[in-house]
Amino acid sequence: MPSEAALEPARARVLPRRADARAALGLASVYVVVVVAVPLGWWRVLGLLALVLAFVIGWLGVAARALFRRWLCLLLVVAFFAGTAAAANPERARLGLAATALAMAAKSALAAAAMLTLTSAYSFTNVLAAIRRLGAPAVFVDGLYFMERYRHLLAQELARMTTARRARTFGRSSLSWTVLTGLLGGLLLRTLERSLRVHDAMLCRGWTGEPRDLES
Amino acid sequence: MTVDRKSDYATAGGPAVRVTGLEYAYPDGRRALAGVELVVEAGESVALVGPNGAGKSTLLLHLNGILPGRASRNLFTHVHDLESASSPSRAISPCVWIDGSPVDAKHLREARRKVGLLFQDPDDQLFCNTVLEDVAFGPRNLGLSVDQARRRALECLARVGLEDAAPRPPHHLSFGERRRVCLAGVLACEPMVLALDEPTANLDPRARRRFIELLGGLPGVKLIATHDLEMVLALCPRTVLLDRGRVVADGPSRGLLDDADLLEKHGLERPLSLELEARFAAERRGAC
Ligand SMILES: Nc1ncnc2c1ncn2[C@@H]1O[C@H](COP(=O)(O)OP(=O)(O)O)[C@@H](O)[C@H]1O
Ligand SMILES: [Mg+2]
Repeated sequence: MPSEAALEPARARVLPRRADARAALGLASVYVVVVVAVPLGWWRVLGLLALVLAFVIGWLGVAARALFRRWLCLLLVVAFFAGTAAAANPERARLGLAATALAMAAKSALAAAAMLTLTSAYSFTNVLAAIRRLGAPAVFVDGLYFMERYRHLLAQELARMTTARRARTFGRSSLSWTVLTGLLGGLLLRTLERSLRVHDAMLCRGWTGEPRDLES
Repeated sequence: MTVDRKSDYATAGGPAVRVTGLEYAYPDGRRALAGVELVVEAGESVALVGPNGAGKSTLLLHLNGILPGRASRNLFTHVHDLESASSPSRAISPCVWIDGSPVDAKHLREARRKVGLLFQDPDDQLFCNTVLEDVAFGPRNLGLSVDQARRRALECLARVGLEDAAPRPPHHLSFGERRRVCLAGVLACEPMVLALDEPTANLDPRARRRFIELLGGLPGVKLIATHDLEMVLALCPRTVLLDRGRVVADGPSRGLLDDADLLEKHGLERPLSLELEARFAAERRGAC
């Protein structure tokens, strides 16, 4: 689990704040589509796209280390899905399983990096407002807003649960699959309950489903 | 949508809070409220006491229509669009009135503006990246401009003595500070009724004393659910005793909290200060 510091929003130092978040969102989406469209095995093109992204990150002045740490967390998920999906990909016959999985993971990782850059450069709320203006359903935007709002609680909750477990297993590390799934299930339940309470608290203070903060 | 609240309230009539025959069962069938009757007049400070599970929190959640909204909600429907907030069957006979208006789908927004609810767990209430953003959350949702909201948030932070914490992330503050930030966030909405759920729970003695002083200085109607009976004596002239979802006693705090038998029967204890007073009085009588 990433530390809380890593979960802090990476606020960019130099921000083109006045630039429309919607335009940035459009560009990021185009970038993601291009990345996804690159055929598996075209490594040079992927490399070029990565260079473009690196340039943009440098130009925006996004806090690169925090961005990198968040990206690493995502990478685990990405790698897992690429690994499982590669087996069913028809390209496997041509490239072999390992290369297919690697290429798929690389593409997904690049797309994830682009989106992370976007949310780091513009406040998450700005990006959400842009998504909303582009006509996305409120429920979807809400969900994202909500996730952002209490993700640090998720980290805390997990830390508390593992501590409680450790206290009762007397330091023996016993991270079997049953323990792990129990832990994750418990976390999910707690998170759901917590999210209902957080949502209630938001309603109490006039939340109508439209993200508004001190920047937008 | 900046409204002049004072004149707004002046047009409404009736007591600040009226609850009649309020019943509520949680979706799992657990009956939490069984016909609560309660009237709170303007300017009153009322303590809501009772054992764990008596229904205090559940009652507070009804004051601004958070419940029974939840009963009609599953994880995939969102209830902040006001029409779907209470199911039609519930909307027939409202059981809660705030300042003369029923808390139903039509008046939900109004009720939420008039009743400021302080949750028991500050972490449920603080979700923004900085303290300032969090306190400004309510004002922004009430339609204040960015500048107005920022100004009001800073004002309210100053009122709770935390103006220096404005740029910090809430989860880096101490528990007591977090609770004060929550209070600032509620005050920033300028509610008419303050509903506080166990405001002194889990505070260390000094933080508790500060918080009680802070609450004592606030104007308006206060409804405080608590186990802290010493605080009740300090802040609330009137006490309502709740047990198993019903009001079992309602009267002046000193008299009610001095009734050791009644308190014992409902899982509470006579506050130490009254206990000592009674003992001194007995000793004095013995000495005479
Ligand atoms: N989310 C919930 N789901 C089911 N039952 C609940 C829930 N919250 C509270 N209850 C039950 O409702 C009753 C009243 O709870 P509550 O209002 O929290 O009491 P109090 O605040 O006085 O301690 C208790 O029996 C409790 O177990
Ligand atoms: Mg409670």
